[in-house]
Amino acid sequence: MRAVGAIVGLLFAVLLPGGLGPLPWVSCSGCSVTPIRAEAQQPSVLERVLTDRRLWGEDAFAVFGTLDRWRAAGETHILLYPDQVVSGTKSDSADPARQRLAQIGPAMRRPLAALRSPFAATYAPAVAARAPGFRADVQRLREDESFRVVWTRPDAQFLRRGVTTRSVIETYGQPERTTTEVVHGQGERRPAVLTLQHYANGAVVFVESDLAPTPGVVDRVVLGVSAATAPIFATTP
Amino acid sequence: MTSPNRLACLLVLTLLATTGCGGLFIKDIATDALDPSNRADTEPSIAVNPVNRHEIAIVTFSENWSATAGAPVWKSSDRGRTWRKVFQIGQPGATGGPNDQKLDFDADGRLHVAELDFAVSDYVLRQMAVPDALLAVGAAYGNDQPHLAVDGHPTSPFKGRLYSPFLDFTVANPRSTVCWSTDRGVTVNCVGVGNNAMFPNRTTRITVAPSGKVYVVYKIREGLVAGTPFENVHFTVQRSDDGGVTWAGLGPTGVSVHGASQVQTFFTTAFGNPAKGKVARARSSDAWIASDPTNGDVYVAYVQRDASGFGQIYLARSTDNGATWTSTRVTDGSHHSAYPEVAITKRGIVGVLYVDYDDSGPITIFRHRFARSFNGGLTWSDRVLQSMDPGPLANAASGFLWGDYEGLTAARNTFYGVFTGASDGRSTPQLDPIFFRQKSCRWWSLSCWFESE
Repeated sequence: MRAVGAIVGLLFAVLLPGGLGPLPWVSCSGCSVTPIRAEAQQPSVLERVLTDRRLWGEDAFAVFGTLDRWRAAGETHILLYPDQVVSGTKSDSADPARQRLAQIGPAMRRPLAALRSPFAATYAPAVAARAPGFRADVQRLREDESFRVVWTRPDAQFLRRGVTTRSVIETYGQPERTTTEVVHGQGERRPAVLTLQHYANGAVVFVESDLAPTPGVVDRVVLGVSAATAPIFATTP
Repeated sequence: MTSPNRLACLLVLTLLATTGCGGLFIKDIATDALDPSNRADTEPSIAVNPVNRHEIAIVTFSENWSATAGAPVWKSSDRGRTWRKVFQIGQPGATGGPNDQKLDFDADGRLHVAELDFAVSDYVLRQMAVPDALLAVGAAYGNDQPHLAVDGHPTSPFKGRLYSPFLDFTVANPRSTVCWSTDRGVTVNCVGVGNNAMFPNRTTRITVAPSGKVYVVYKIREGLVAGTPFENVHFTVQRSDDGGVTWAGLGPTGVSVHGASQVQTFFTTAFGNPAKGKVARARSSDAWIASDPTNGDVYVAYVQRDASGFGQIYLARSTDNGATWTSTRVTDGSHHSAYPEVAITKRGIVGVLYVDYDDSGPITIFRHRFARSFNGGLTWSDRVLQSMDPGPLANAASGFLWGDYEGLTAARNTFYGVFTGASDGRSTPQLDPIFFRQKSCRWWSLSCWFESE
């Protein structure tokens, strides 16, 4: 078992950002292996989330692999739904959102930045296959009636459908905090009551909506662009 | 009083006391088994089957419908002692729901539910042959906050006609609009009713009088009061005398129930004290209308900030088909109050369900209250149904605690109500739908007390 553990640890060390550094040797009974630095042995929650195929479809990896562009476009956070990605920037009317869309275009045509090794294998093919198909548009969200820039493509799958809050907690442990947000529209209708599970210092927030047809299902994930960009790219954009 | 009379009185009083006449019955209708997802059950609505008053139906924001599963109607067949959920509200259109909703029975005891879906289309769903079967879907119409009333009066020339008011948000100044249907919502005809010439409308509520005259109350929103949770409004009533086809029974612009002067009412997402706990939304939570099922008098309960400095509940009464109104205050001028619903029994007892709050202590305590008047609104007897600190209730979301409105109706001599309050007997303390009923007779009215409910 110890040998298996050591091998797994070694793999993490090789795959994770930073790779193997000058590490002291330690002994174990009958073997001699390289101990792994604590930070290399345990990928952060953020890194685990960003590569979790149980959470994300290929389109999400294409977004993550171009997240530097989103940051360059001024996006501070994005909302990943099963079928679309929504800008965190809200506008009260369509015109400012269209202006925002025009600003985003050049940023999205930037050259691809180099990905760090644990992400490259997952993201690079997705970026090549999926990102060219994304189309951005301005839409009005029903929930808060704000105008947003929205990206999607036919048959897109960003957040996997049916991911539950329970499975998230089973995988990533209890959230750092849980909050509730009531989203009112201008009208009289029922607001959305959102339950937010915060992880990675708020860089990843799993959101459940009481308007969803099935209780307990993650409706969207809010991703902090800056925080997520840092581990993904070899050089911080 | 002679001795035999005293004896008779004592006997009657004893009988009343022992039979529990006039006692308040109150019950959390949810259980862990019925509500495994701990839904908040906000914005409840209630109706009593006129054919069998043991049958009561309630809708709340419980389970949502989907393409494959219905949303529930809470049902009781024993006057509210036990409850079950009947998942009979199927997805009426292409999108999820329920959004705002309201229900009513027709004179034949068939259930109707007005539903708003998440794409902001309204539908009336109607019971067919089997009471608990999936409801049939009617035409799409309207948009925001549909309500519903079915004319069940045998004296009405429009008996059976269905009315559904809503707020039309597709025009520059949102307008109170009413749809009418002669085929239970299969087809609907919608008519703009509210005066939106200068200002937007909101809070549209409806009642049908025994004569078949139909009344709506709505507010004309004439500007926020800076730095306060209030706005200036006119609570305005309009009437249709032809089954909802035209709406000019009270002139082209209707009648303000409080006269020419503006009043201030709540328009806030922070009803309560944000420094002392959770708060509620009170934006379309300030008016209700009902008619006396016997003589047709019309009553409007509304919110008015008065000299006390508090938002208070007022009751306006019209004895001339809405032409003139006389107002009295229901509340006592000591706490902010809102969310009024009004209902009238067959003998003219007036009931008003409302919410106030007390923030004099370290936390805000919200109180669901039920006031009754046995003399047309001149004086009131008021009781607290439940005091609640929503703070510890996990599914009580600050900003939307019970919804924009709750449920109150009357059948014969009994009030039936439902509010979203603190649960009782649940594993997880939470918001639940709390049902109550109370038979209400003038103390001397033996015919009332002994009438079967």
